[in-house]
This record gives sequence, C-alpha cells and structure tokens, in this order.
Amino acid sequence: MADVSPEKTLDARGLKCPMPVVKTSQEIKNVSVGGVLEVLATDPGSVADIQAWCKSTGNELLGMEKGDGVFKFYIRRVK
Amino acid sequence: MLTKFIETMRQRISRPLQYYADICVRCGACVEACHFYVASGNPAHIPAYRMMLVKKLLQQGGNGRGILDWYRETGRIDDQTVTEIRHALWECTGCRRCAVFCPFHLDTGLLVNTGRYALLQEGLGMEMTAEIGNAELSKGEIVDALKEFYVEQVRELEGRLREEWGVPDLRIPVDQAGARVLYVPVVGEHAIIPLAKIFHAAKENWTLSLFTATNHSYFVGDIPKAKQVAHWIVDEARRLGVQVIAYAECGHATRTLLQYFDHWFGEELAGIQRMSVVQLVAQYLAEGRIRVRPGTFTMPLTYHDPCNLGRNAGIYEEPRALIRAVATDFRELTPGRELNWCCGGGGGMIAEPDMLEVRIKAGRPKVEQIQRTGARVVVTACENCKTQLADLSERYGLGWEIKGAVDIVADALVM
Repeated sequence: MADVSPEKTLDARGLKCPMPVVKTSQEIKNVSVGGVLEVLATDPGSVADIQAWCKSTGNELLGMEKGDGVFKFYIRRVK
Repeated sequence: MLTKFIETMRQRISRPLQYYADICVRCGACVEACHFYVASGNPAHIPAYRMMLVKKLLQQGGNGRGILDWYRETGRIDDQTVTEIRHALWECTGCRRCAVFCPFHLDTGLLVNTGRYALLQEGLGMEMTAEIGNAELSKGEIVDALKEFYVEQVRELEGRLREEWGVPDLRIPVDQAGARVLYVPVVGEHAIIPLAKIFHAAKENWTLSLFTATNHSYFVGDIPKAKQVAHWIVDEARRLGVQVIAYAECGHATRTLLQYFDHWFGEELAGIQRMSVVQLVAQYLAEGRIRVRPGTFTMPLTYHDPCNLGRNAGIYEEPRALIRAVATDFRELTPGRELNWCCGGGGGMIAEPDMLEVRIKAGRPKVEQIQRTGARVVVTACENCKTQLADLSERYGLGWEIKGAVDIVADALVM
C-alpha cells in the first residue's frame, strides 16, 4: 500500500474484545471524509472483525499488508 | 418526544413483561440490590422505578393492551423524563440481582432489553454497541472471503505456540469437518491459546470456529439480529457435524447459548450439546483427561461469578472445581453465588466509551467485596467482567491480577 498516505494510525494490537472495533470506530471520526486510517492488529479475530465492520458501516477497506506478525489495514472514511 | 420509544414498546411488550409490570407493587426489596443505585443514589437506577417509568410512558393516551389498562398514572414527557429513561434503561448491566431479591422474581433485565431497542429507534444511545452488532451480522455474510486469511493467521499462531511450548504436534484446526467439539472463541488470541493447550492435552477432536461468540445485538434488545448472528454458528456446527458447541468465557454469549438457542433453533440443534468451555474443561478434569499441578497458585485468590454464567445460567460448581484443582488459598466472596455483586461492566457497557465513569462507579460494591477477601488474584469467566475488573483494579489502585478460569488450568497443565 505504498501509494496510500494515512492521516492517522491506530494501534489495536493486543486489545481485548470488542475494543479493536470500538477504537476503529472512534478513530475513523478523527479522519477527514475521504482520508485514510491505518489500523495495526495482531489477533486473528480482530482482522476479520474490522473487515466486517467496514462492510456494515460502508467505509472502504482499501487493502491489507502483513509483516513481522503485524497486520495493517487501510480504511478510507466514506461518510 | 419519545414517540418512537412508546410506539416500539407497545409493539414489543411481551406477555411476561406485561405481567412483571402489573405485579410490581414497589415494595422496595430491589432498591439496595442494584449496584447502580447503591453507587449513585439516583432513583432512576431503582429497578421498581425503572419499571414504573416505562409504565407511565406507555399509559400516555391509553395503551389499549388490556393488562396495563388499570394503570392510570400517566407520566409527563419532558427533558427530565428523557434523561431519567436513559439512566433507567442504559445504566443497567442486566445482571438480574434485583430479580433474586424481588419476592416475585420480576425480571428487570427483560424490561431493559426491550426498552433499549425502543430507545435506539428514538435515536437515544448505545449506538456503538448496535454498530458492533451490525458488524457481527456482516461477518456471516462475508465469512467465505475472510476464511483464507483467518486460517493463515491461525497457522502462524500454531507455529509460534509449537515452538514456544516445544510441542511439534500441536494443532489448531479451523473449519474441520468431523470434529467432536466446535470451540467458538471471542476476539483475540488470548481466547485461543489456553484452549489450544488444554485440547491438545485432552486429546480432543476439536475445531476452531470461523466466528466469535459475542453477540452485541442481544445487548440492545435487537433479537432478530441476535438470532441471525447465533444462527451462523448453528449452521457451522451442522455443516461440520460436531457433537458439542463450546463457547469461550463470554457471559452474554453463553447465556444466549444455554437459554435462548433451544427457543430460537429447536430441532436444528438435535444431537448437538451446548456448553460453556468452563464446563467442558471441568469435564476433562473430572474424567482424568487432563492433569494439573496442584498448588500452582498459592497466593490469595477469589472467584467472581459472572452474572450471565452464575445467576443467569446456573454455572457455579465447574469454575470452582477448576480453581480448587490448582489453587491452595481460594477465598469465596460474600455475598456470593446468586447474591454476588455484579462487576458493573456487563450489558454492553464495556463497548460504550461514554459509560466508562458510570461503570467504574457502579463497580464499587464489587471492589469492596473483593477487598474484604484480601485476594491478589481475581478469577472470572467472562470477557466483559475481565475488562471491567482490570479497569477497577487500575482506577482504584488495587493491583489485582485478573485471570480466566481456563487460564489458570492452562497455566497449571501437565503437557
């Protein structure tokens, strides 16, 4: 995702349920409409949850990256 | 003002809820039973007052629903009423401690659950919890697309644990047809790791679910959505042909599994046992399928009965059996079991950032009863309780170590 410049980064690593989604929902509000939020996650379940959250809220999941055991999501705020 | 709330309540009021509303004579036995009221002194937190508030609103213009018709004390609708109704219906963990003290065992939890859904239609509160519930619903629709990535992540976890524990044949099966047990975790590897260890030691034929047990739609009384989210798991269990669905240490989800699934799914569940993973691990221990090192925990330790496992599902003995197997200084809380104080963090409040201060305050009776035991380790079996107890420990400067009932078994396990 070299062509994406996130406005904000959320470190959701190691958070307990349901905090990865709660923090993502809160943090996206601090990004301008059209801007991108980067989310860092490690837990298997949180990755799926954030993807599902994007679908249900209509925010756009631009892509994912993996490296050193950390998953990075890039979410564009749609509204 | 509150028009949609009243309209929705009238549509959704059930026969049991009408009985509860009629039967409550405001005797006051519930007043001191509510941790919110004890901590706040706010009348809107008194269970009987919560009920009366809703009754008055439903009486506006006549309710036409028979059983409530005798009740003629209509309530006014102004800003204060809106504030009160929000306190009454959102600031409740649905712990049902009040129902134990009530001479008729009237269930304020049912009122709150129904009322929350009606308040949401009015646009009043707990939007975050509803949003998470919607995400859980979406997950079922896109699970096939998520599967490959999820399996890959679990394989990575499996590889790491094999190395860490020196167990090269450790397996974390996912979506495995023919497994006996379908284990449904909560989000986070902390819910998978101890069970991977225990299942391996018990030589269990198990599989990890593609879903998580949590069901936030239940917290906001959106039962059709809650049922659909639960149905993804029933479908998965049937597709894989499992004999047992075991839910992680998650209070509200366990309650739905043990108390709602029969009503929701009936024959679809034929031949499938349902249990908390705490019950399953206690079975392993009783049957000698796993061995633990007694005395692994020597420091003072107590157990907090999660309302949804204890008072609401009757699971008291199994967690205590696990504790007694590994701890030498187990100290019971007083009052305990069905009279145990709620931690103050249930009912979806953990997910609502705006409710942090309310729940920290409502947790004071819990703090005081744990302090009286002198325990340094607090064991419990619900994800919300764990988060709340950790928050209480931090905010009140208590230095507790919070552990799950299955965590202490995994720590003491002989591999």
